[in-house]
Amino acid sequence: MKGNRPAGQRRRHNDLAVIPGLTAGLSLAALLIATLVTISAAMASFSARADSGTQSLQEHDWNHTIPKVIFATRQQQPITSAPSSVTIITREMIQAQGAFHLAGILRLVPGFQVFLSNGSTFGVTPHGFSDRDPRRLEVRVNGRSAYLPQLASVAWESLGVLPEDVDYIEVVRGSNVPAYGSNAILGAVNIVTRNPVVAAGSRIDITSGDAQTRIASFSHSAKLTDSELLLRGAYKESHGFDGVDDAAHMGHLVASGVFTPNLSHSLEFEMGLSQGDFGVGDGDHLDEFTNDDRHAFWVNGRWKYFSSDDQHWNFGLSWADYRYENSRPVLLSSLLQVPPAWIPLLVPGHEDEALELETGRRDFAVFNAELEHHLEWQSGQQLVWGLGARGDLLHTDHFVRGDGKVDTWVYYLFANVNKPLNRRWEMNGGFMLEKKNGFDAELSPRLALNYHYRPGQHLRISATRAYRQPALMESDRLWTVRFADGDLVDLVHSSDPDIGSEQVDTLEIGYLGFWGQGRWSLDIKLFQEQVRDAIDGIDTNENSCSVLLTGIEALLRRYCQSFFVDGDYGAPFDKRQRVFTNSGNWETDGLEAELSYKLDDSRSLRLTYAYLESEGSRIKSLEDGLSFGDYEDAVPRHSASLLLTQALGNHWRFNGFAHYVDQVAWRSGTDVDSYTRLDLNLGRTWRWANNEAELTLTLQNVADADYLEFQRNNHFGRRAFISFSLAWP
Amino acid sequence: MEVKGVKFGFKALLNSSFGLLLLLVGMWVQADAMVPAAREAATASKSITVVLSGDSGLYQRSLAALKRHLPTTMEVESLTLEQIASGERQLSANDFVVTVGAKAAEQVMATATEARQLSILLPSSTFYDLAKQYPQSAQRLDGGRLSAIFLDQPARRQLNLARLINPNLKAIGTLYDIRSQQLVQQLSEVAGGTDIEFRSRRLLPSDNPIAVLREMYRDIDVFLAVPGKYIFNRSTAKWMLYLSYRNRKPLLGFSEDYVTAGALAAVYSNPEQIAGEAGSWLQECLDSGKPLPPPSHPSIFSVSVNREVASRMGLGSLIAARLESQLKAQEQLP
Repeated sequence: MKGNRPAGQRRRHNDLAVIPGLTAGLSLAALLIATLVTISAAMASFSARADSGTQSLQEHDWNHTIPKVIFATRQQQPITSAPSSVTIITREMIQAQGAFHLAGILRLVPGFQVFLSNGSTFGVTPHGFSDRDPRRLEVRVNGRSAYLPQLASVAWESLGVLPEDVDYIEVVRGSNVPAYGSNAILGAVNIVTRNPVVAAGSRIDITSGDAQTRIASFSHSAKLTDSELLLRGAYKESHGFDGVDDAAHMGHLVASGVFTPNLSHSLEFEMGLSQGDFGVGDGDHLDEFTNDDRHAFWVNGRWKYFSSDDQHWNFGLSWADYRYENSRPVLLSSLLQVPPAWIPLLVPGHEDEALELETGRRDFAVFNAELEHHLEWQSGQQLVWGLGARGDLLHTDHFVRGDGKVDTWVYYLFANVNKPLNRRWEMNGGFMLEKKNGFDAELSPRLALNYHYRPGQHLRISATRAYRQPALMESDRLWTVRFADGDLVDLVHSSDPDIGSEQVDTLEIGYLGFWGQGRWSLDIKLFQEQVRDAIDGIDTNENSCSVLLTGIEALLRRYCQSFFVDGDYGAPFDKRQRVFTNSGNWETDGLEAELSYKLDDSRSLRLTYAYLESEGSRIKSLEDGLSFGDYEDAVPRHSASLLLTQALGNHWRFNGFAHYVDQVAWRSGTDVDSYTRLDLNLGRTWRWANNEAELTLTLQNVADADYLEFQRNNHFGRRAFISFSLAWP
Repeated sequence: MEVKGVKFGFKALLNSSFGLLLLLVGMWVQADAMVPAAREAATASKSITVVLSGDSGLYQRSLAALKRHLPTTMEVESLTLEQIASGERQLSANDFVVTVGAKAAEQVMATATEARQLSILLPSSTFYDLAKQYPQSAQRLDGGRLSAIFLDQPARRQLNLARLINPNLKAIGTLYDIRSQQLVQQLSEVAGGTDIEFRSRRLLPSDNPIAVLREMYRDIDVFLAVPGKYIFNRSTAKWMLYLSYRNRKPLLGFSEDYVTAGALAAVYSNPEQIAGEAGSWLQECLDSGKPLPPPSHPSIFSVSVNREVASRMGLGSLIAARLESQLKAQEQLP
């Protein structure tokens, strides 16, 4: 029986069985790279020939497209040429919405759900289906992939970015694996902070308000001979939800710069550190909350080289290092609800002692290097191809297999071609080939056709097949509870050694239209998303696994794992074990829409709506027979938002943001009823000489109808804040 | 009965409305058909040859716009560069050729043809360079057998726009490279006749673009972007926009796209406008047999303003349509 196989013998990690797959994957990658390099070289020489001797202006010098969207394909293209629906969030929208946390901004995106899992920790997920650590969304900050390698989720509160630091955000709504890899399986977010070249002088911002919220931040820019630098930092604290021990204190310091030695080269870099402690826990067990200390340090550099008029290269290098630590020691006697004197009898050789029930200290790091080559033809055709390597490193005392250290490397190759077929039709075709240590190579392709049937009117159809390879804590999980001397007390979680990639097939039809000289715009998308082999946990029980309950023998053989770890028995007291494997399938059909209307220079409104219908199931438990969990309420069926901006004259402004979310059942959270939240803010600006001061009053959830955020006891009531900012040259 | 009566009345109304609609559609079709018929009467048996520089959307849009502005009976023969270069199609003195783009203009000039040639969608500097390169062009220009409608806007129009945006304009500046040298020369000459100080600096490959732009923005009120090798295709365009925001000094672009990307405003003529103007020239020449007018900048143009940038710079009162009509009034254009 597979469940009795020692945990160390896995399909991966130098297993000989993997070599043919590895070899085949690498051969395929090598072949593709060779082909692309040849094409690039050929095109480059063609391009160079075509350009040689041209010293006169050409009509194309007037008609090059200025970039608007980069994140959909890595190429600079107008939003109407993108293969997916893209939401662009501008500074004006961020200011009007009035969010104090970066993640809160994404409530502006149709089809995205944003929740407070605890008082100061956020989760963001496209199309629901999430627990407190959403996966399946790629988030990049200034080009750096900002995920935590353990679960490929994002610690929004540790990114070192406040809403006022953001220049713009591009959100690709839909699978974007062909451009950015596994994590982007349901969407991708690109956060671009204010460039040091734009930021002028110094600025301070102070906010104070309910939930004992205090936020203070500053930024200062400096000019050097050949470069521009920006230093920014912030401190935040909040006591979180009433009656919940989820207070948080955090701070960050970030330095970024731009160096442009000549017209062909530019280097943008960033270095930052973030530190904080966060009260985290399950709302059902208020006495079990712990303090999670989180430290993060990152460096990120992006070098751009223009080798000719129509070619350039981007090289990115980033390193992020994290140290998280929490602790909840509980006496074994307390856990077993027995007198301490009984422990030596129950576990010979051991006295009663405090056991660590939380994840303890986790050290992890992400290294990423990637190269992109961009080519552009006068016909309007664009090609980008590139390759990269990503390393995920994790060290935790009792959460993964082996000696607690897991290093995984992913090598990838990608390409996208954007080709105008004629006056009206345009094609985007691309792929991502990823090879992760110990797993088969996965090829994720996408094909999209854009039809520009009238000026300002555009249709799009696209199909994507995408794969997400398991994150470290999905493929290498082995959560054990041990005595101080290392003896095993309980095996809590483990990974299925045969775990594989999730697969998502997406089909979407979109319309993007502009009227009234661009004052009106409408973006509608109809889509179908089929998720296969989704990774989730199955609860198993040693009793049912050992006797192979009749009727589900095959499932038990497939999913039961050994209850022994290195020869030690892992179920002396608790016979249960959760196994992470490919256990779910679901389909989401829906519609997403964005309508923007700029009434005049002083007024605008933006309406979003999403209708999501899902069905599917997962194997939830094999403890006492087979039980399924359904996904019907895993997504809110309806959600909508309305953003209204109004300049009142005399430097006053008034903005409103209303947000509706239908009922949803959060995994590891609770069933949350539908709610509507209305936020308002009123601001006044003063300008003198080159200085600017601003005072803003923000009211959140004005109607004061408490609603629940993600889990029990997260009651969000009315909150008021006052903010002051001052900027000077 | 009353209900029936209402139904009957509604039906009758529907029938009569449908009939009226048919009649209106018929009249509209007839009226539409009469206009080309009138044109055709005047230009029967005329034909033109169009040579495109390529197959991209830019040229196809121009060709489509040109056809829209000509009578449907006028024969439009579309040729490729290869057909001209290979001699597969020889141009005679009786031909009337419209070249779209710089490559097509050069290819036809290179054939030493005596055909009448109207070149569109090419920069003025490129047209005059080509005219110098092919000696017979001077004679054709003088005889009204060679002309052009340029892609670029006249220098005075651009300076007028800058003045409308900033009535207190004292200094305007730009960066250029070898390709845009002549455009900047024109701007400098025109600015010389006004009280506007014109500052320009040639960008060299070894230049630090941010340092150069920083210095330029310090001394000017408005930055005027001109197309060029280093200006547009590189991240220099991004730095231009960023430093414009930072210094709160307007950046004027040269295309609608530039305005969408973040320039405050631009005056430009799109391919449809230029092709439309070319259509009017063609009809005039073919109808009257007169020589072609001398080469000129387009008289049909548009102005775009980026509202968000305007608000950010405290120039929220700028309205594109008003600027456009003010520019036309200054040039006494209809």
